[in-house]
Amino acid sequence: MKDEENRLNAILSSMAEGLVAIDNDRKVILMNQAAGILLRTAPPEATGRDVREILMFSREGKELAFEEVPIERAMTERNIISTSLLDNLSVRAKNGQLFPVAMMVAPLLTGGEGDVSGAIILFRDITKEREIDQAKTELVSLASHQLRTPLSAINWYAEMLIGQEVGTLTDKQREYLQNLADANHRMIDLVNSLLNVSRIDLGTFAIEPTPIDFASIGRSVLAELEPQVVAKHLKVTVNHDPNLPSVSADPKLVRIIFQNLLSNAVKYTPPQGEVKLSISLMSPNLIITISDTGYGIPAAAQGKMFTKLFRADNIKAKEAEGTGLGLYIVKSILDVSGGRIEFDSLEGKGTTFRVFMPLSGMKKRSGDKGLT
Amino acid sequence: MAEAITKGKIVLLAEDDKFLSTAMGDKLVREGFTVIRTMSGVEAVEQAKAEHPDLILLDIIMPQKTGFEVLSELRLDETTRNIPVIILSNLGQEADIKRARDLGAIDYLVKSDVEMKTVVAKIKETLARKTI
Repeated sequence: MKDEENRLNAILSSMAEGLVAIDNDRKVILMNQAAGILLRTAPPEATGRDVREILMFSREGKELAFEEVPIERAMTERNIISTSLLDNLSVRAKNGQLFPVAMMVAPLLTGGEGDVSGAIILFRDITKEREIDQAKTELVSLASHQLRTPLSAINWYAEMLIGQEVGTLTDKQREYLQNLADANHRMIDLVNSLLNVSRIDLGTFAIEPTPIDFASIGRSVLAELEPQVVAKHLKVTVNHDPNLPSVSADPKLVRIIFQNLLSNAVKYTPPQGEVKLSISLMSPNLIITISDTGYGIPAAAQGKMFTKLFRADNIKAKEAEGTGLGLYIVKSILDVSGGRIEFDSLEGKGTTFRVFMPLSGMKKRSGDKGLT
Repeated sequence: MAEAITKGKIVLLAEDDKFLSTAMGDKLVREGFTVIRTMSGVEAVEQAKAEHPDLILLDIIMPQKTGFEVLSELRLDETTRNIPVIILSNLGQEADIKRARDLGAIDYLVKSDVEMKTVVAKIKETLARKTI
């Protein structure tokens, strides 16, 4: 029996992660050495005390509300709650110092009824991970800045040459320079998309909802696409209920959603085709429908449409432009903000995308960067 | 009318990339402006204090001093405080834009998204407003 206890103690004190066990009254019944070191509290000193005095959680400098504390959630929800870097949780040690944590809290369930008799809390200091994450974010931001500088230079020189500010051009020279400028614009779009994808993948983009008029954003994106619409002689129609309520959403993100879906519709519809945008109310959602009479998505490709870098074979052959990132970005934004997207398509007939945005609006999320 | 706005007006260009500086500087000269070209934040502050330009076109990421620091310094000096500053940067985050606005920049343009003619139009618009 003694051997057993010694072995258990040896295991607990050799653990690199902090471990705290509490009873149903939130009193500490056990704390290992690693937890003591992290919290700057000697384990015997902690025993018998309320865990809320020992483990004080905060997020972005603000103390966490009682019901948000993972320990409380695990005990009331009777579920294992785990947190990671993305949860942005910190714990204050006894000396007042804050350190970022990742943790796992499991309720102690006893008896046939599964009564909660306490909880086991396992946690570790993730300062290093946070630093690496920060460095990665900064690298992406710096890289995109560095990439944009030469692209801006190409844009500006092409603009001056095409504008014949420094001499006249032959029609052929002008055409070639315009091709160069167009390719450069695609490169800028690609850099912006890659930057957005990296922010999505890092989970660092912010959502700032404010009441907005979806129809006017849709119209302004269509106005930007006017040159392509005219060049392809497409028929574009916009329909929306004049009394649509204003829904709280991040205008930049909504613009990105419209830009991707509408530019896809324009890009992948052959000349003389049709593109329709409609916005309607079907409680509890605002539904944005974008349909085209374009090339459509082959049945075999439909399951992969929202996968990063995926492009269907039929359009790869017809349109060199396109990054395979747009729909991934759209779906990621909707997943995180509380919306949803679906589509139906027939190859050779056209595609319809429907975005469902809850009338309750997008969920706010803090983050150090927005999407561009 | 357009000439009246540009004639004799001094624009200080703070841009450390030589290709961008040449492009924008040459464009402004062709538009009739007198252009002071600076390649660092320190030089931009010095020249602003010495020459009192009518407008400053300011990059953010520059050696020695960032555009944000330049803006703060200009605001502290009586003689440069009221010079209109337009930011022309490739940083395009809301936080950067807000920071520049809070420091008194009157406009914020992202280089990769903006045509030179738009930059010129903004400069003329600002100077016209100032003259009124």
